[in-house]
Amino acid sequence: MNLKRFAKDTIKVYRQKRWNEKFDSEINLKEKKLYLSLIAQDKSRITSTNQEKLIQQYAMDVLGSSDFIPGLRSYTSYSREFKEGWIPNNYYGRIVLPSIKGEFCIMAKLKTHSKRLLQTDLIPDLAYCLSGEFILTDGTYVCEKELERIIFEANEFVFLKNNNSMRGYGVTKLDRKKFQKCDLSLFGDFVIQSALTQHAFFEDIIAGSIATLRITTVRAKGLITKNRLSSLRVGRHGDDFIRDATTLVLGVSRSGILSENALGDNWEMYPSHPDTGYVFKDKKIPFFEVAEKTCEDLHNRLGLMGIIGWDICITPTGSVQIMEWNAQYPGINYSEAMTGPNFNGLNWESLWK
Amino acid sequence: MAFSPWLKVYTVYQHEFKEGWIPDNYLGRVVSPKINGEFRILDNLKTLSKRILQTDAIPDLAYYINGIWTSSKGIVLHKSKLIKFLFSDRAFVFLKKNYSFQGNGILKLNRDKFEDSNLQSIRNFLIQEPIQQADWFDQIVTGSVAKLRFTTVKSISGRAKNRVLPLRVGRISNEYINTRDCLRVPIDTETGALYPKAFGLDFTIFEEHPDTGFSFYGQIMSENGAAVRLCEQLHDQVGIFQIIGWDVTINQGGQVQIMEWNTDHSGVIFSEMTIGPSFNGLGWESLQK
Repeated sequence: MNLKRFAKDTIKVYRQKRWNEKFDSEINLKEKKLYLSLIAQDKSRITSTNQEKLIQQYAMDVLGSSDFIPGLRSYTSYSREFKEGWIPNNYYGRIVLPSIKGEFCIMAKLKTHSKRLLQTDLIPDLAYCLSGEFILTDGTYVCEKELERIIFEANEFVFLKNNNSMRGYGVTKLDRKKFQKCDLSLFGDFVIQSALTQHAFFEDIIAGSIATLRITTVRAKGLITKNRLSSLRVGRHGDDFIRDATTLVLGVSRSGILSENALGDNWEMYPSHPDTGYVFKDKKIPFFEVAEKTCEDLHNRLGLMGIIGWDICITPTGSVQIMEWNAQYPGINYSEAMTGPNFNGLNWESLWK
Repeated sequence: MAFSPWLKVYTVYQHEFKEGWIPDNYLGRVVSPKINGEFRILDNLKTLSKRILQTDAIPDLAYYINGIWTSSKGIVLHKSKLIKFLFSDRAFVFLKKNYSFQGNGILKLNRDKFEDSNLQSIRNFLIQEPIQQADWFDQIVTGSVAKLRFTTVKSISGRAKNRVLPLRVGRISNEYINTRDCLRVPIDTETGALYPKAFGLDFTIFEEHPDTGFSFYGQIMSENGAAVRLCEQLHDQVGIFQIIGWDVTINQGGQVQIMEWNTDHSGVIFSEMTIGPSFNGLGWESLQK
């Protein structure tokens, strides 16, 4: 019996090791690409011998493995200095998240029930399709014709979001014509959300898509639930909504001020928006504190789960609309580079031990 | 082959084989994952059921989540006011842990016990109001609250409909229903007539309640209509699951109280065996293909 257990445990350890290696190698490949991209844009960002020493020491002594060097290197290169306390993406993904996130982070993928789970009116839901039937937010069942009348009464277009959709995948923009042509039965369970209007601040950056303010709240035992990391995603010319592939990401400081650069998918640095020329540096996001407070309250009232990423739109009147929430893998690496370290005092760096 | 043991049990009991029977492991391993999907773990989250189901029929009073007390409306409760909030109107409350089921993970607490126990050591739990069951149940046995276990089924584009209606009653010493001790009495969904026999966990058959002598034969449970309708309606509103098990009771005031819901695998053994097959016409037998 003991032999059997020993064999089982050995296999488990081996499997975990293989999984870790694969996870690290994928992320580190990307980190290396990011570093090369940064130094290709600006030679002065090549890490110095002294910085390399600090990176290596920190990776080995504090985080426990040289697998975390590439992540720390790309952060250092972007910041032009090494900062203690940084959490590399692979450390976050395979050490921090498994230890802090609740088993129920899957709930955040249930777009059709977010409004219930979060108990808030700050979600722009209009109607749901559940098991092939249409239900309004008040629970009334309607037929497709009636649904069409209701959702386009006050909206020129709406957004359809599938359960499990994220980062723009699984989102469809529909006007009345497209809605009529579209075979809704192909979409599974989904929510229909109204189109939002954003504050002029974001329209000035670029119009056409809604800029997404990401607030990342952490709820840990004995600590106040707090926004730890914020970023702003803005679209490119021609985008209907923010998609992972084309979006530009800006860091946002604790007081809501935009970072000097926006970063593209390969960390191409843009001090101004490439399509509109809007200069980012020192601009302050309006109603930033309201957005933070709203997310912190929602996280507190939901209880559970360690970390939640909230995707938010700030409207012209300064109210907050929640477009999405993510508890599976709320990304951190753009902001760690631009505004980090963001997670000091949570003891995340010792979780590997 | 793995499904033959339960079919054998059903057949032995009935002295004949009936086509359409759903073996319990087939329901749990094949049907439930297929038709309820990845979100079927939602019911484990006792502290959020009231939000998801949006009904006042769940007797939740307060939640304790990661060290913070909140009311069932999500308002943070300070510890100093907690005792007054919970015990000024009631002698005891029930504590249910997240993940608790079948009566495991339930504690009955009066004020003294509540103050004495080290609740912080339990991770996340909720506090429920004690329920006074309707007189009709009291004639069977008192001490614990009897449960009706509905299983509502909602096919794609159809409305939810209850398929089975077993009753669970406790033994005289029980403070709440637990799987080990309780007796299961199937009920005819059409007529409300109790099956003349009750079953223990080990299939011991009782024609009357062993502690009170209540005879099951010829009894009609007539008050369940509203409860069935409520569960069907809630099932329609939740929308995403095709099968939901409900633990429901009716209180002194005739109100329906939902004690638990089950979106993963709610057992159907005794009702299938006695009055089943109850899940005909749903195509479940071809789900594994």
